[in-house]
Amino acid sequence: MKKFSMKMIAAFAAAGMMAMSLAGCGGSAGTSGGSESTAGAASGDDTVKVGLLHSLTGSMAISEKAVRDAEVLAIEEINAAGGVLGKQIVYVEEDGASEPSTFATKAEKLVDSEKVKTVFGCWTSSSRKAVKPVFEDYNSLLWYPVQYEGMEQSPNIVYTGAAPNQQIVPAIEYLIEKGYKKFFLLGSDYVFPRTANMIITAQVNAAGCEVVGEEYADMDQTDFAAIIGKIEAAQPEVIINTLNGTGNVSFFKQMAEKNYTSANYMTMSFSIAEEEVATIGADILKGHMVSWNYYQTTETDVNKSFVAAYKAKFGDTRVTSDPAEAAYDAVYLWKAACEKAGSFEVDDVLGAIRTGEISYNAPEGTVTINGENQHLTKPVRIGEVKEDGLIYEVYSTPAAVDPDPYLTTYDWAVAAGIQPIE
Amino acid sequence: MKDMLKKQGSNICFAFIVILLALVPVMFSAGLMNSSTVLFLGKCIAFAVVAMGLDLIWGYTGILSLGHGLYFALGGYAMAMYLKLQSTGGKITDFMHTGGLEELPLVWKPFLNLPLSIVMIILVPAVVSGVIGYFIFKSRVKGVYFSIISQALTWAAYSMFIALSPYTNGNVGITEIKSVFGSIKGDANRGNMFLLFYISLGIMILIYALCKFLVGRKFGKLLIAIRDGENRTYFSGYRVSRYKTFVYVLSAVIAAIAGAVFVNFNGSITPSQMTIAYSITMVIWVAIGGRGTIIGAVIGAFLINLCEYNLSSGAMVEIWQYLIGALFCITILFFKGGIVGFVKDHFPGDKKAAPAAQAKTEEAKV
Repeated sequence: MKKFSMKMIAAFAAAGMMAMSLAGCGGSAGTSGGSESTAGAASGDDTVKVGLLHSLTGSMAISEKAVRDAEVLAIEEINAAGGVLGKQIVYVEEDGASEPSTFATKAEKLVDSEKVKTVFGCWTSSSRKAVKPVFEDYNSLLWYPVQYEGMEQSPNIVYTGAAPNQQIVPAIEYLIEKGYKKFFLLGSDYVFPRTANMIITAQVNAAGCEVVGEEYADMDQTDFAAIIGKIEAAQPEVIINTLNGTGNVSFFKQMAEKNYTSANYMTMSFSIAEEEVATIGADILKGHMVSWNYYQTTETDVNKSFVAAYKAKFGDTRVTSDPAEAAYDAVYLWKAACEKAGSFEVDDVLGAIRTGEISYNAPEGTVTINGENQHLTKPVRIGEVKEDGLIYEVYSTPAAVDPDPYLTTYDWAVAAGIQPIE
Repeated sequence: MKDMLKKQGSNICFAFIVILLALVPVMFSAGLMNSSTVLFLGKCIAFAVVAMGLDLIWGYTGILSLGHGLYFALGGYAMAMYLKLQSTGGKITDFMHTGGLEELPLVWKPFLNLPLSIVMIILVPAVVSGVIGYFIFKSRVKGVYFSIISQALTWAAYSMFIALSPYTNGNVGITEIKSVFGSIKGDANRGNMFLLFYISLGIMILIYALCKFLVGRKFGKLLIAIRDGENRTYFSGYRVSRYKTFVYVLSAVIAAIAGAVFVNFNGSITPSQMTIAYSITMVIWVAIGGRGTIIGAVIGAFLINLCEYNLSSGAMVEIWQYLIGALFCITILFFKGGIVGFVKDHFPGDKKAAPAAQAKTEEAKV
């Protein structure tokens, strides 16, 4: 009898799950089953619905959570200040589960079923590439907040992170100017490092310097002995590091085990921000260089209040980083574009964006959306990791750099033929 | 009447699912459903197809393959390669250009033409699984050792697809493709979407009929015999390894067909479809629906995917994986036969059938 009752409980639990899922499915034509995070959702008169699409589970969750948090912070700040065009922002969250196909499915759900006015989302290039056709087919709008490899320009995406000429190219220029001549390229095996290294090779060769090695590690590789051996044999003056995620932890720890510091092998990293420094350890990374548009230590008044608000909401131990800041900017830029357009409709907002007059006084400095390629004009900063785990600026471009995702204004890039074919 | 319900229960249930799905485009036209939901249900059809193939090999034959994502992705890639070449007009793609290729590589050439592509969708996984199956089953590798090998092979293929990025576009995969019938998005292409949906539904019905046909005759009894007493089947004079290889190839081909259907709805294929985690997810669909019943695989695939689709958002966004996990644990702990097994146990046609079904499912456990 006891066993039977257990079964009944289990049966009820299973039946409940089924009912929930089916109810959600049936109801998804109007609004979805309990997805709105703020009460009084629906598409009422005084609210506007936006989507957040990040990985909250899976391997990318740890990175994307920070970005998602920054977006939520911006939304709450805007709501507290009276909303956009007099409407409060309501956000619908979907989990991309670190899986590009899930991203595509969820993007479709957001723009088609939930009828959101815009979506803030994605981190990896593969997830962005998977959702890009969805936003184009449904003529919707995505705000992509992470620096990336460039060579892309969708009319339905605004890229608020750096294009290659706002992170990679100035960093290599800086290194060449500092007298580094022998470069070693090390990256994870996926599209960003491969494209970045193609750009870097063209740039380094054009400057008369030399790439002495190029190696790729699997995304979850933990043993770097062979690669470190190749670095030792190649004797580079600087290592250009585009490793991502856990690869960085293993690589730098194994370099440290051999007592190599920034004095032996200087590295310039494009995927190490404040969060990664905390994971790897400031004692290991101190003295190494990174290139971004923003650091937690960036000295602007807006940044002081941004960092304070972020820590107040999510905890004192949290750090702000470039992607989080770019995501925060995205929400404010969308607000500015809506206000200029006087409407939330995608075509109107895109029209406002394409005037090239949408700008925002961001924590990193003033950023402006380029009306032609929908990337941001933004300042570039080379930073150095210090003992306290923060990154301090050692150089910044004299003026904000205009985005050039296809590098068409760089002669060496045109000569090397790295632009994609039509 | 009662007797018919008992005998034809799963077919009636399947017919019910088919009718519901057939009504989906009608509901969409009436404005009761969004196109994103229709496309999602299209993907679910693909998942149901691969689950049926898995049920043949696991539920009936007792071979637990944790690597069917490999075949699903092989079919998906074959389809995607054809569709990609359609969108580039037969020229080389961006990622080939970036990878330093000057002209279309030889492996891409067959995918310039649709009939040949369809042949490749079936042939490539059949050859791969045939070779693997022949050697594995000939040397009588079974049980957990087979599961481990299937995982290792999937992992190897995954690494290879990422490493060969000039040919496969690495971990981004093949994106920005339309369906076989052209674009399926937007009002203007509604006809294409319906055509694709009904053809996919037709494929699901065909695969179901094929599976039911196979398990309903001596062949099916033999598979069960292999599952429940492999040595006895050998001693009875059957070449067990041949049967195993055949059913392995068959389920691989079914998985590949599912992958090809999936790509049409999804508009992209990435190596994450051939990960071990993805392969295990497929096994979970079958386990929850009920092994060794075919209909259970269909129910499980639809149910779990609908749960994931609706739970992984909004308020549940942080905890949905726990809910799915809990559902899986409950099923394993309390209903060994999955949902279908539960229904069979609690609503038996006659009292004698129930304990027999229970015993059967317990034996089926690997």
